[in-house]
Amino acid sequence: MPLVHYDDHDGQGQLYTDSPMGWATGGTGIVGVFVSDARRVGGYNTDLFGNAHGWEDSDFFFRLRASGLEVSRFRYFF
Amino acid sequence: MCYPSLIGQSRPLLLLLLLLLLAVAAGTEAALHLEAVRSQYSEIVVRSDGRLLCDFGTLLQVQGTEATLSVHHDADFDPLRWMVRIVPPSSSRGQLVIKLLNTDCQEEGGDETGTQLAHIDTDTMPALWRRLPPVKTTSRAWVVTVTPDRLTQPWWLCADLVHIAEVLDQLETVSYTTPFTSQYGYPSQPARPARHLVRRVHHAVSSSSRSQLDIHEIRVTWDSRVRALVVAMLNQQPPTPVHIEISNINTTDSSDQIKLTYVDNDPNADSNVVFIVAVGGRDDRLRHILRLHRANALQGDRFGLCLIDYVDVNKTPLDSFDHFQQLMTLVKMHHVQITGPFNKVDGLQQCLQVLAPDDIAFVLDIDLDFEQGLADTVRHNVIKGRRFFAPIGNLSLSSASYL
Repeated sequence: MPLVHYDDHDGQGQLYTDSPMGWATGGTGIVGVFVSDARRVGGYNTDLFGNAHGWEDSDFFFRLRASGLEVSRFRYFF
Repeated sequence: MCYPSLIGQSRPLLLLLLLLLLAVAAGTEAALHLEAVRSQYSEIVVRSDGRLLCDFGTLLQVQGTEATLSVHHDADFDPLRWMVRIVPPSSSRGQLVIKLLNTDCQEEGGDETGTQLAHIDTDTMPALWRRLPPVKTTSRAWVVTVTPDRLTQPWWLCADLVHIAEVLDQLETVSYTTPFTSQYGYPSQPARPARHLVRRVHHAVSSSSRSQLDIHEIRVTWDSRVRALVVAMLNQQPPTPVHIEISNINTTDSSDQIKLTYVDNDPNADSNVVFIVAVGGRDDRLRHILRLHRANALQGDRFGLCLIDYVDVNKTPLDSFDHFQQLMTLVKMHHVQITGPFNKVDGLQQCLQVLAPDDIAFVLDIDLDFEQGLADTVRHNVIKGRRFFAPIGNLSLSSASYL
């Protein structure tokens, strides 16, 4: 079983102190989807999120779900 | 001794004392109000673009089953981009109405109560004033993203939303960043899921602990029972390397146990998986990622790569990295170049546009490590027109220092 985990450190090797768990734990940004399905829901919303960081992944995630797709998730461990 | 002189000399002191008394009175009122809110709802957070907009303790008014959010706005507040997360107690019933009010518009023609919706036109307003679906005892949370200018129908009205919220509440919850401290400014950094899961469990186990609720930080003292429950929840691993269907997750009010169903199928054995990676000024990580991909390709993994190259941000040209050229010969490479500042959304979308409809796109993060076989895992967990895949990583709490 492949092991997927997030790095706890940023590019400078500093720990994100606000998150003992690792800053990128468990979000909606890491997503696999058929391109046709992604396009069907409009892909990423560049109009709304183009000039800002964040929430574009949640928005995309929710639109995929709202379109009727189910989502497969499981948790990986170190 | 001249008393007037004494009073005159003490005037700053008296003024300070008066201000102190006023502050204490205001604080008491806020505290009482906060308790009233807590008696109705477990958690309410209002945010916009990662900024905390409302301290619910002072701005939210609850009357019966109606909650009114009085949102202060300033020049930076975009009412079209805020998120409300409300976690009602499981015993709640009835309707929940969210009203957005702006308390700073009194001098600009507000209504009789001195409030009006802020920066929201008449077409948008009805969407914000819609009634949410009735509170169901089987759900624990609503996650509402208000983008009424982009949608003809607010998607929180979708029946799926409750289901999503259930799942989010169980497995990942929504991440808040108030304030977000990442130097890269990821407002969506999902650093809080375990924290919120922990908080939720903590509340479920000990309702009296709500007095410790703090939307900025979680400061809880754990007893062994809570800790054991949290660890047990997070340590549920699939017995076999297959996917978990969220639609089969059920929850119980008593123990928050998650029932998982594992289904073993692999409909995409020959599908092309393309990893999408946004590269913006992270030479070290990129070098590492390229090395991982190269090793996986040499071990037989079948995948493609779509590298989003922010040419004005990256100090080192992509093709000068050691493994880049070799990777070009091993896997199908898409090289999307973006000029200007780092814009992740544009890059992701451009990658989606260059891929074939039958490709499986898998968005990786530059900070994500992975092992050989990830492409097959992705294949295993998506079904065209039916299922997508969003794995959650690193939820082990065993080494979490704040526990």
